[in-house]
Amino acid sequence: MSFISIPFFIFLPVTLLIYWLVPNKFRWIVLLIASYVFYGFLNYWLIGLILLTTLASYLGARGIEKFAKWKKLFLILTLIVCLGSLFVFKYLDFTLSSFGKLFSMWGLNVSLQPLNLILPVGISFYTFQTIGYVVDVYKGKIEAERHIGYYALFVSFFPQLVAGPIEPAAKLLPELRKEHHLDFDGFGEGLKYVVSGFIKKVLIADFLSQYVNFIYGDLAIRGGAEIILATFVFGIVIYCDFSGYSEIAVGLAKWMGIDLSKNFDRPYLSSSFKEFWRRWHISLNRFFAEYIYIPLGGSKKGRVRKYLAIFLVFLLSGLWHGASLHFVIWGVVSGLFLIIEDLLSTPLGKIKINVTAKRILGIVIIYIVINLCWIFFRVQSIEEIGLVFQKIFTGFASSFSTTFFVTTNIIMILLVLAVLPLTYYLPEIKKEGTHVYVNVALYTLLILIVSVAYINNLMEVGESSFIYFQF
Amino acid sequence: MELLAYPINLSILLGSLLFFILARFIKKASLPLALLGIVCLVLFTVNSFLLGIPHLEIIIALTILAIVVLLILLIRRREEK
Repeated sequence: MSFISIPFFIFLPVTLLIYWLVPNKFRWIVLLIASYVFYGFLNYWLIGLILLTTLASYLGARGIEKFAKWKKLFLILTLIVCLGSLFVFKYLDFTLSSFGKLFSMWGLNVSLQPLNLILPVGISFYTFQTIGYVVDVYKGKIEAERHIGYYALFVSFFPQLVAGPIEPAAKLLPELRKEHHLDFDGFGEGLKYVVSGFIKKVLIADFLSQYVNFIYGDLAIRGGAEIILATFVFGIVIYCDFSGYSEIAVGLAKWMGIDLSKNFDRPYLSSSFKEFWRRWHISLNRFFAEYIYIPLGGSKKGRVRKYLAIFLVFLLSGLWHGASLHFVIWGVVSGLFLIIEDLLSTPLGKIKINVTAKRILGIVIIYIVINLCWIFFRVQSIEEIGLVFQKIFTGFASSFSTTFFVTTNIIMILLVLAVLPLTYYLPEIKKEGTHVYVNVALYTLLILIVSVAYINNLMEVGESSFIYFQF
Repeated sequence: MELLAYPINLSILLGSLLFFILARFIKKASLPLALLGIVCLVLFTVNSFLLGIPHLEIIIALTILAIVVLLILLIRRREEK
């Protein structure tokens, strides 16, 4: 079930009503059932898969704690089950086709047919969350959860199940266990996040994605200039789509009295790559930093080790986003930019320049480079990357379609661009003084906008999905 | 734009903006004024649907209003700081 599907608008109030009506000690049962209904709504056999991961990691963590002598074995077994299911469903076809191509290049006639398995939604997110938990238990950072119900809820908590934020067990498990009270301030706080998330998704991302799909849908007839423009628009789309989802997740959890982590922190205002990756998809980058970058030595074992670790982290990050070479290239290119920035930091640091000017220049450069990197992310195949660069360098102004830019759309685009920076401030408006009523009015207004935009999208293009659902 | 062809409908929207601004300045009557503004908003949206105004135009009108209200709140916040 998606947050923007019609069944969800029935599912959510029913869940919230039951959740707040039952006594505190039974609320985890309500949430667990709701989470499985939410997940199973997409495909009922997905519940079996999440149960397998839950059971394997629960037993693995208990084993690690109980049999200290065999804890490494328990860790390896758990990782095999969790990563194994991720590999089978997400990467097996990619591996088979890659080997197939390799064999045919060598002239070997080996038939490796793809299995065409359906990719279970959110598998990358909950697999990483369980791995984080098991490794934390292995390292002795946390104790293994004894209550299987709370643990199952930790893995499947529906607001963050399919697209994160990936929560550390040390934070989410106590949040689920604590006593929750119906708090109208918390409810209002949640509403701000939900409304802001819906504005980003339904109003901005869904509207602008029409242009991106229009251009990227037929790259062969497009000019380089319009591809670049569509790529910059895609930068807004992916940000609004994903941060919108994360904000809805945070808001929904707040309605249940549960605090989730922030996943985005105004990333396009970063003045360096390092800063950008600290502010973009924070929970995933924290996971990579904690479980891969630091164990590989981080920045403490010399420059070569540091760069190798960065390279590996970004290679894995690309692969995590999808079993396709263009995602791997996106990851590698992003990692290389980070390494180049680090190499240049010492000579560039010596240049004397006004701090504000330096920051503004940094923001502009990072914005342009990060957005150009989205080309590797948005294309559908590695062949399309070649086509895009061919168009940019040899057919920059060969075509520029103005079909999309009718008067109404231009006004809409300008408004969307004006709304985007304002959404930054939306969750920060506090309930203060007498203008609380104007606040209420503003939120009514925003809910009306979202509703009209939602109805419009349903009628024009049908039900949309979130980009990160495919990961 | 079709929205401009219905001045009474448009004035309902402008009326709601007026109520919101008044609610921001007249502290003692801010609740009823804000409520009146909300009623006007709902009336405008429903009426626009009934008149068959394109959805995108309704969104544009509501969004412009939202930006104005948001700016009023942000300016207020800055004053308080």
